[in-house]
Amino acid sequence: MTFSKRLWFLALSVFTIQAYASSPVKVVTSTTDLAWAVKEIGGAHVEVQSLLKGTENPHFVDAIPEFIRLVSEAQAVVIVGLDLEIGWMPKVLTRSGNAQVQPGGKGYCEAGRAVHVLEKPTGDVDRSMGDVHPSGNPHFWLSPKAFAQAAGPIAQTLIAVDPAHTADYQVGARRFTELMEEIRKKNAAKLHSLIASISGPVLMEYHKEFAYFLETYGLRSFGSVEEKPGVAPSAGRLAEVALAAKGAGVRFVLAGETAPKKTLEKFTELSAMPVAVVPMSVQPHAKVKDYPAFQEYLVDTVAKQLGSRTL
Amino acid sequence: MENTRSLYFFLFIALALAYVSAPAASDGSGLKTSVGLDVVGQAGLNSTSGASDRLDVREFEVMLYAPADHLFDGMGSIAAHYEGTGIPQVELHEAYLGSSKLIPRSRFRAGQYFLGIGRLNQVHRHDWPFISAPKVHKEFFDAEALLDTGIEYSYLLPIPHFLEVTAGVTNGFVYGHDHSAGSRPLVPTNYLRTVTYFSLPWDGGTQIGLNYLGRRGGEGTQRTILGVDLTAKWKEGALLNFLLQSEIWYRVLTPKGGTTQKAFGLYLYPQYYLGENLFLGLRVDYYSVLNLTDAFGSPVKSVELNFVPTVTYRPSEFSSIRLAYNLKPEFQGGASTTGHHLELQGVIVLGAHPAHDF
Repeated sequence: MTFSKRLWFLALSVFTIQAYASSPVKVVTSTTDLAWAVKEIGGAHVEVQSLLKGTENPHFVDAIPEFIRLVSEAQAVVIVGLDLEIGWMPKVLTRSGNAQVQPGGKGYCEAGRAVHVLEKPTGDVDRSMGDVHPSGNPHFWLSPKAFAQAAGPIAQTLIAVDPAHTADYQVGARRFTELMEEIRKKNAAKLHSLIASISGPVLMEYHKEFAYFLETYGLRSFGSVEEKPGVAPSAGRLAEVALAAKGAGVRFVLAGETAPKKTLEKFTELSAMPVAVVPMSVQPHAKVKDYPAFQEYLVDTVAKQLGSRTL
Repeated sequence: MENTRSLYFFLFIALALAYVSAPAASDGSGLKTSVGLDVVGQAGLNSTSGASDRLDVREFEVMLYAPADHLFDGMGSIAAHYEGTGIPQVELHEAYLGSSKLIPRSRFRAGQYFLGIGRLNQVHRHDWPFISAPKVHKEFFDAEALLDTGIEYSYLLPIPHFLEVTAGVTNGFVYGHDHSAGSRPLVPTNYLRTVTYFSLPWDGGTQIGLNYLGRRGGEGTQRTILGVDLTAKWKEGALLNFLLQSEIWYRVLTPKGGTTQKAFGLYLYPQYYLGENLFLGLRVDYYSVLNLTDAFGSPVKSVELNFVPTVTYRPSEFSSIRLAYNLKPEFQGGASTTGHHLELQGVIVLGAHPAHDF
């Protein structure tokens, strides 16, 4: 090989390595909320794609082949965990043939593993109790306080797959935690005076999925319309719980967009109580296009319900 | 006596495995146990129905699966079922090791398994959206599924669209449901499947597979099967609002020194969600031997149809009750018959349930 050929070969190698090194880390997340968090923490060093759009119920999703393709090309996969995606994500990961993002791989991240979990059952759990999560309530992203705790595992995963930008990811995680606290403070201020004058329960949930949100903002819940999680309430249960909620002075019912509309209508008919239906995740192509907007929407919805009634 | 002994052995193994897997689930090994119970009854409504007129435990299946280590996974299932003898038969369904971590974009398995072709053949029978196998599936594969021992490899192509290719070779000593040792084939069972996926309007999606299977048995019969399978779904939240499932198959059977038989069959199953955990579906089956002839060599018409309206009550992914009516007109030469029968099915799944494919 002549000297000039060697020079060309060296230049080409350096260019190739440089191009690879500077290309952003490909991250796939299960939910839109996590996608937003990864982008906040990783900044320009990451290219993020969410498998879900924010309108689905993340418990009940199929292992869509397109998900498998996206995961096969990812350098990191970030999921909620706590059994939220157990019905489909294991199949997606396995069929991707991508060892790096499967459990045990350096690009696999369960964001929920660092979260202080609420509603973790203590006794025996079986399916006669409904859709109980043995690992605890997985809907932590609904609270900025709990969501902040996911920053650790996300940053650790990004560092593992892209150690060259360790310092940036650490700074990103710290900023993310601070931003979550800002969001919490700003929204808590909106609700403070409205809640202060109410002594009893403020609201009911349709399905027990708002635990983190309620705890963060000090909202007292009367319980859930569902008798058993994930099981549609019977007509008898609806009548019974409607009467009890009315008697307790509950102001309204908070429900996710995937809750059954007819059941909610029936409940309103029986209780004369309004139902506030809210998105359960960031929806990049709708009004709650990022996490601050999503939190604001949730809190404004609650504030509107409380403010519109004589306290 | 032999069968009773196998039943006791099966129960012993099943209970022992379930016993050891309970603590194993929390000891970090990840061993999971799943039990499927499938009870089916048939009642004939006329003399040509072909129904069994009895209620049977069609299947009691125990399945175990777990990662073996950081590279390999293992899976095993054994099942007991009645096969018209009144005595439960015990058989090994699946026992294989596999990995999706050794070769990028690839997965493989080696051992005994349900062959990775078509749609029904890859789904455990208690997870089918209807009760019994369509005629074409029974004729070309089995009343349940085609299983054998071999090696299967799948590769996801590195293109900006989902396209996966699966190829496999199995012993081929037996074909279909056969408890004998079989005999050495001239060409083992070999198969190829290519599957792709397209998004559909209104949040729907469809998976389409192209399939090939070939084998030349020890007696010299060449079997070639070609087929297309299609699954389309429209979901909203936890609800499967609309399902369309279909398989179309063509088979050429050439016995050594004999006349080639060509057969064609399909089924089409649309299913609609009615509300209150109720689903209504209608399966239409078609099966025909294309080149049937009489003793004089003249072509004979041979067509079998089956119309199967099916109602499913599915309160959760772990239980379902199904009722189906079968209307089966058959045309053979100049003669025709029509059978009518009802089917009832109850399914429960206990323990863990592996994540589903699309």
